[in-house]
Amino acid sequence: MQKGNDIVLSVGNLTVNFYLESGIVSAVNHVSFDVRKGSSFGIVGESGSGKTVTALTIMGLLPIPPGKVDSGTVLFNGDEILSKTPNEMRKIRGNRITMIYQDPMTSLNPVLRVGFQIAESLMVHKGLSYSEAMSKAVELMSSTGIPDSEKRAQDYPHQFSGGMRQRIMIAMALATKPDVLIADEPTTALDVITQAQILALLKRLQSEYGMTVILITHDLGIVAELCDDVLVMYAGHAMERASSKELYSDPQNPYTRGLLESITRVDRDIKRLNSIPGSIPDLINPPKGCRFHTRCPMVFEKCMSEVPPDFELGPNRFSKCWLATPGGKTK
Amino acid sequence: MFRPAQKMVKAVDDVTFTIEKGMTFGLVGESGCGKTTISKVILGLYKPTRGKVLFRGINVSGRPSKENTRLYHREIQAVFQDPAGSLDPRMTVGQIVREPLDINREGDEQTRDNVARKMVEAVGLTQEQFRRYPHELSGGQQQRVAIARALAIHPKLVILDEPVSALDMSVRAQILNLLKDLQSEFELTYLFVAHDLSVVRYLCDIVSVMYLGQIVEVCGTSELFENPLHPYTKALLAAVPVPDPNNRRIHEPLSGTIPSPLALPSGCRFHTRCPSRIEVCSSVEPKLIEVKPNHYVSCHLYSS
Repeated sequence: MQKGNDIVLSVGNLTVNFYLESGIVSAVNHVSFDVRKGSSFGIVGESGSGKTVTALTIMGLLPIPPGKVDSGTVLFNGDEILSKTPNEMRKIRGNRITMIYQDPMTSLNPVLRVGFQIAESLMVHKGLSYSEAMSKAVELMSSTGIPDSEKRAQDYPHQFSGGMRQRIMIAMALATKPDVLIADEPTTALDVITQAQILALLKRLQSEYGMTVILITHDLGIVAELCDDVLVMYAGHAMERASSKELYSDPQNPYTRGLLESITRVDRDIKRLNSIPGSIPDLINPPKGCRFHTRCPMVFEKCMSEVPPDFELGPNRFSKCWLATPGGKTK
Repeated sequence: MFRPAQKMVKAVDDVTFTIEKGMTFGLVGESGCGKTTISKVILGLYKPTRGKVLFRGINVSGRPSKENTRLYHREIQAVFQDPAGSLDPRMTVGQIVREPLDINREGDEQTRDNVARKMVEAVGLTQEQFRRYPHELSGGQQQRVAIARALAIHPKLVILDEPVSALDMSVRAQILNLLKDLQSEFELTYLFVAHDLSVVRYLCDIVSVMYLGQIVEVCGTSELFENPLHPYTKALLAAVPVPDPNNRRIHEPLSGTIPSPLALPSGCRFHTRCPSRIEVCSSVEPKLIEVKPNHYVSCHLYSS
């Protein structure tokens, strides 16, 4: 793990389990990664990968019970946040670390005017008066591309299109000028063109505000377009971490490679896609050893019984694979 | 007592296209473009206000005879986006796949059972899974069941409505390859309705781009992706994020949002957002014409 004021968020050996009647769901299993201040960091994974549970844990929004952090640390600017009291977390969440979600309709309050919803965090966290906060809210709506913002601040969420609601969510998340913005599948529910608009907006705002963005997605195209660094997760494991350029040009984990070879592309003609056989495992009874071993083309005995450590391949680069030992070949 | 005047939405406006046997025809567009309405009309779920659908030369959209309706329901099948939503949770895989055979009374019970079993195998499931219920299967496996059911009575045309968009990435390639293989094995024709252009590029032979109820461009797949002509097509292609960090293209390809179909722009429907519009665009509707061999566009920039 790297130390230094360069790192805004450091997750160390995080394990999160859900204790259900049907069994224990091993959602996040010994996951470690660092996020550099001011960077855009992508967490890529399919369903059950643990990416959203990781984000919720960082935000202190993990439902406890049935969830439980069974090991690990989350350092925010060097400060351990897993041991903070609910009151302390309330000062951080929605203020210094904010989050936007996939479906704005379920995170916006349908009976409150949108301007007020944006102003709320300014009144609570920054002590602004109602009129100061509302005026800031109108400004924020403009800066996120909502035309006629003074008038529209008086409207309700249902009066906006999907793309506009997402802009409102972004305005809410930026109001307090957070250190870190977590965006969980922010464009999955949007049309292609609207998605491009929202991604362009996020990119612009990130450089304007100088904030760190953690983008959670299943879309490898979005990650390539927007992110400096990437963490690939699978069935609760952190499989690989690298810079965007390294990950796409020279992946060091068979899962990453399998994914990259199996996706369809607009920019090239593909004769036949390579597919990864099988399906995502059950997290109540995950495979022993490396959780990808049941589908891995390079599997050998050790993979089936021992979980590989995060082999370091360079600064801010690791691969959780027995083949990733220095001098080993993961191809 | 007043009744508010009813507004009319032209979901699909003057759309004409032909699908040749054995090909995969793609209908692409964003929400509200009319692509789902078209597939429902072809399936007989909606009646067209005007115009017709000819299937193997027979008009199936007007008031077809009982015989034609039957023929039609056997020969056109569909696979939808949400596998869990399209499978009856109280039926086993075997019962689901057999159902179309039972409804159409194809052969005796034993024959139907054999056909269903063969179909289940053809889509990559096991005989053991024949007795399972949908909730015991993964999303990818459920979609295989939906495909097996659609193919059980050997249709000629299969409408695929976003068949992989609800599936995990690592499973999509399996299902796409399966669809390709089944197409050759069973000599199927596909109508592929989608918003994911990368899947369209992999699967389709011909692509038709729609905007607000109209076709704006139609041509062969390679041609569309390499030489798009319509400004909307160009914007759509530019908007898709590409998994190559050395080729970053994030910028706003188009501003604004799709106008409401209740308040259609005058002239060319796309003119309000078009970066290349000229004067005539706001007053005259362009026509879909062939500007290169087998490449049709509806745009004033290309009409002589």
